[in-house]
Amino acid sequence: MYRLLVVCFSLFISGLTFASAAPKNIILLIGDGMGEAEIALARAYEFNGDAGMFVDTMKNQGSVIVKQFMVADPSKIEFAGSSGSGGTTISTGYRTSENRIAVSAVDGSHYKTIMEEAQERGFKTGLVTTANIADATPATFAAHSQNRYCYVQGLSACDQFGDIPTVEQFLDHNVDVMLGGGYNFLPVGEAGGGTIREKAIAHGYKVVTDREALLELEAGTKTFGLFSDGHMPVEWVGPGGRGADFIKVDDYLRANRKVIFPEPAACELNPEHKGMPKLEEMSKFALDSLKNDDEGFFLMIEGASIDKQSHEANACGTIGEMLAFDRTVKIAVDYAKKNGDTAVIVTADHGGPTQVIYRPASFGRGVIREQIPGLYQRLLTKGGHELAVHYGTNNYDDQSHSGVNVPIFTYGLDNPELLTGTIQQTEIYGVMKNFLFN
Amino acid sequence: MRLLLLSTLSYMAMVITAHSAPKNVILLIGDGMGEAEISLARNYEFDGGDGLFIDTMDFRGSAVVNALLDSDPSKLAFIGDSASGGTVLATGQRTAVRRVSTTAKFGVPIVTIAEQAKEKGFSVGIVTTAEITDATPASFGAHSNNRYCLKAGDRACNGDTPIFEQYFDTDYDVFLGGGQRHLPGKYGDGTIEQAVKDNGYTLIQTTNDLSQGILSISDKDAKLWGAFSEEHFPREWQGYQGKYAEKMAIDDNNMAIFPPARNCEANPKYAGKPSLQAMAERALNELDAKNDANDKGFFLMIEGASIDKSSHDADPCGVIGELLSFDRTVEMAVEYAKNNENTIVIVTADHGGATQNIHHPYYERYKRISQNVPGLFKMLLTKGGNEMLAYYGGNNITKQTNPGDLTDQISPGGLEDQPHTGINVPVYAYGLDDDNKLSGTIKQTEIYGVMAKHLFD
Repeated sequence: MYRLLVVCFSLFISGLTFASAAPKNIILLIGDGMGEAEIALARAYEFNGDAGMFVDTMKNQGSVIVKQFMVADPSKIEFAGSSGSGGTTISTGYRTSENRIAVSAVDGSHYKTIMEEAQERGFKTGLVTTANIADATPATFAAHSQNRYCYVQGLSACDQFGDIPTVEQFLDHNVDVMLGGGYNFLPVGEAGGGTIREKAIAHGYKVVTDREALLELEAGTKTFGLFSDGHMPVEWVGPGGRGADFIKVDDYLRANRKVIFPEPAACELNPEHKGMPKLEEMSKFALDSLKNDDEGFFLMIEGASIDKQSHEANACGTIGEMLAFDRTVKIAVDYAKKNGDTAVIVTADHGGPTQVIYRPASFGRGVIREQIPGLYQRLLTKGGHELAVHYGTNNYDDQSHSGVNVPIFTYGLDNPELLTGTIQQTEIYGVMKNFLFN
Repeated sequence: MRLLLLSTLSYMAMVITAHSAPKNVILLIGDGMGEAEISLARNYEFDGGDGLFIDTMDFRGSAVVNALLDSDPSKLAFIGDSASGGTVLATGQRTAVRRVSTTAKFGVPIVTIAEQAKEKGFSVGIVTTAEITDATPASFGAHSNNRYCLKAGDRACNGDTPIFEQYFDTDYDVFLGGGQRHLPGKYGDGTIEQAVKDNGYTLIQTTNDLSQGILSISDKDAKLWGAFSEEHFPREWQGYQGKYAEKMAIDDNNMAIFPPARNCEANPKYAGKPSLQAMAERALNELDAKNDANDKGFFLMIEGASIDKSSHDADPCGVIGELLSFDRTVEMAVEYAKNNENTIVIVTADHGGATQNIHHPYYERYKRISQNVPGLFKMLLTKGGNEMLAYYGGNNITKQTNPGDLTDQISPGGLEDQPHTGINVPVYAYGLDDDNKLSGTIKQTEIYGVMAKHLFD
C-alpha cells in the first residue's frame, strides 16, 4: 500500500514538473531461468563461495514473485512460470499463460509493451540475446503472438492461432539493433513475397552474420545480426562435453545397488562457441549504437541459455552462460555510471531446476541408486573444491522450471526502494515506465 | 525516502535516550528456509500474493552459505548443515558439518555471540521447535565436535562434554523447545530433569504452564526451561491423510496417474502443543521484564526448526505449516522492535532445502511418462483453489516408503533424507541503521558482526 502511494505520488510530482531534457535510458538484463540456485552454482564454481559475482556488488536487491496462468483455464494460477509469460509480465506488466507473447491468456488480445511505447515516444530500441532472435524473451518486447514458436512463415506453430511470425513483426517494428542467433531465418520467405533478409534490407537494416562483420560495423548502424543456426552455442560444456547423467550402479541385478560415482572434473570451453560474438560484445555494440542525446533508449539484453542448459541438465553450460551474463551486467552498470540518466535492471523470468547437493563423501555408507534418482554431476571448481550438482525433476527430456522467487538487482533508479524487498513481477514494468517517461 | 525517515528517527532516538535504553537482538532462524521453501508456503497460503509478513520487510539481502571440509578445512563444501550454518551465525566463522561452534578438523571452541552477550551482562534466550539440544540452538549454547552428543553416554560424544551439560554452565535465562525424552537421562548422579532444577531453572512442560505469569517480573534472576514435546515438536500441518510426497503411480502405458489435488491438514499430533509464536512471546516477555533491571538488553534466538525437517522427509505440508508459523513469529518480533527502541530483528536461514515447486502436470510441453517425474511429488490444492505440484527429486526413499530404522545419524545425508541444497538464503532485517546494514549479497559470516556491533559497540 505504501509502495503504491509512493508511485502515485511520484507520478503526480513528475506530471507537474514535466520531463527534463536529458535522455533517459533503461538497460534491462534478463537472465533466463536465473534463480538463486543457478547464481549460486556459478558463484560456487568460479568464486569458491565468495560473493564474487558482479551482481553480488549491487546493493539494491529484491526478490520477485513469479507466476503464470494455466493455459486450459486462465482463471487458475500455475506457480512455475515460463519465458513467454515471464517476459510478457516484465515487458507489459500483465501476467499471461505459457507460450503467450505479450497477449492475454484469456482472449489473445495484445498488451502494449514498454519497448513499443518507448519507440512511439522517440526512444531508440534494442534487443540482444544468445537465443535465436525470435525466441520467447526478446519476442515479448516487440511482438505479439499466442504461440511463441511461430518464428517465421511455414512453421506449424503459426497455424495454431494464425499469428504473424515474430521475425516479421520485429522488422516491421523497426527495432534499431537486434543481435542474436538464427541466421537460418534469413532465406525464409515472408508475407511480402521476398525473404527475411530482403525484408530486413528493405527496412534499412545492415544484415550481419559473423562476429568480424559486427565488430567492424560503425556504431549507430541499424543492425540485424544473426550469428548462428538457431540458438547460439554456449560458452562452456561439461567435462568431456558431458552434462549431468545417471549414476552408474555396481550391479543392476542386486536389490540394493550401490552407486559408482564419476570422478570430479572441471568445466571446459565449448569448441562450437569459437568465433561467436560474446554477449558482452553484442551488448557493447548495442549500447554504443543506441546512445543518443534525444529521448534515450530501451535495451533488453538476455542471457538465454542459462535456462536452456538447465533444461538439458548441463551444469557447466549454465555456469558459463551465467558468468557471461554477469560480466555483461557489469558493462551495463559501467555504462550507467559513465553516462548517467541510465537505469540498469537485472532479473529473471522464472526459476530453474538446478540443485547443488551432497558430494559423494557426504552421503552415508553405501549409497544406493534410489537416493540419487535424477541426473548427477561432480565438478572440480576453479579453486579445486568439489561441487556436486543434481537435476531431479526429469529423467527423460526437459528439466522443469521451478516456481520460486527470482532475484532483482538495480542500479540508477530514482526510487530503487520500489524494487527492493519482496515484489510482484508485475511491478517491474511500472517502475521502468515511470523512469523512462516521467 | 523511507530510508531517510528511518535513520532520522533512529538518530533522534539516540540523541534523546543516549545509553539509557537496553539493546536487544532477536535472531530468527528458519532452518532450511531457502527461497524455494518460502515460495511454496506463499503460493499455498496466498496464491502467489506477497502476503507473508517477511514480504513486507524491505531490508532484504541474500547470504552466501558454505562450509569447510572436516578432513581438510582449506577445502569448501558448498552445502552446509544446521550445525555449520548455526555456527556461522553464532560466531561469524565457518566450520564443517556436524560441528557445533568448534573449528573444522581441530575442534577448537569458537566463542558465540550468546556467550559474549551473557558475559557482558545481557540476558539470553533460546527458543526452538526442535529438541532444545538440536544443532541450531546448540550452536549458541555449546561447543561440540558432534552435534549428536546430546547427553552423557551418547555414542557421538567421543570425549566431548554433552550439549545438555554445557547448557547448564551457560546461565542463559530462557530455554524453550522440545525433548522431554531426555529429562530422565543421566546427569552426574541424578537426572537431567533434576539438573535443570538444580541449576535454578523453573521447568515447564505444558501449554498451560507456558501461558502463566512472567517469572522475571517479580524475580529478575528467574530462569525458565520449557520442554513441551517428547522429541522435536510435531509439525503443525500434514499432507492429506498424513502422507508425505510419494512416487507417482503409472498406468499400463507408463503414463503418470496424478492423484487429485488436496489441501494440507492440521496434524492431530500437534494438538495441544504451544506454537512457536507462543514460546517466542513468553521468552520475549521474560527478557523484556529483565530489561527493567538490566540496562544492557538481551539476545534472543528463535528457530523454526521443522521447515528443514519437513523438507528432509519430503513433506511439503509440513514445510508450509512450519514456515507460516515462523512467519507469524517474525511479525511478533518486529512488532516488539517497533515498540522497543534499540531492538534489531534479523531473519535468515542456516542453509537451503530440497523443496521444489515444478510445472503442473498439464503444462503443455510435457508428456507425463514416468521418467518425466522421477522423484517424489504431492499435488496440493492451495487455499485459493489452485493446483500446485510440490516436488522432491533429491532422494526417492522416505521414512514412509522405508519405515525400517536405516537412518545413520552420524551422516548428514541419511538414507531417507532429501538433501540440503547449496544456495544463497535470504536475510531480512528490521531496525538496523545505515552504517550497520545487511542488504545486497553478503556472506553468511557477516551477520554475526552486525549483531555484535549492535549489542556491544
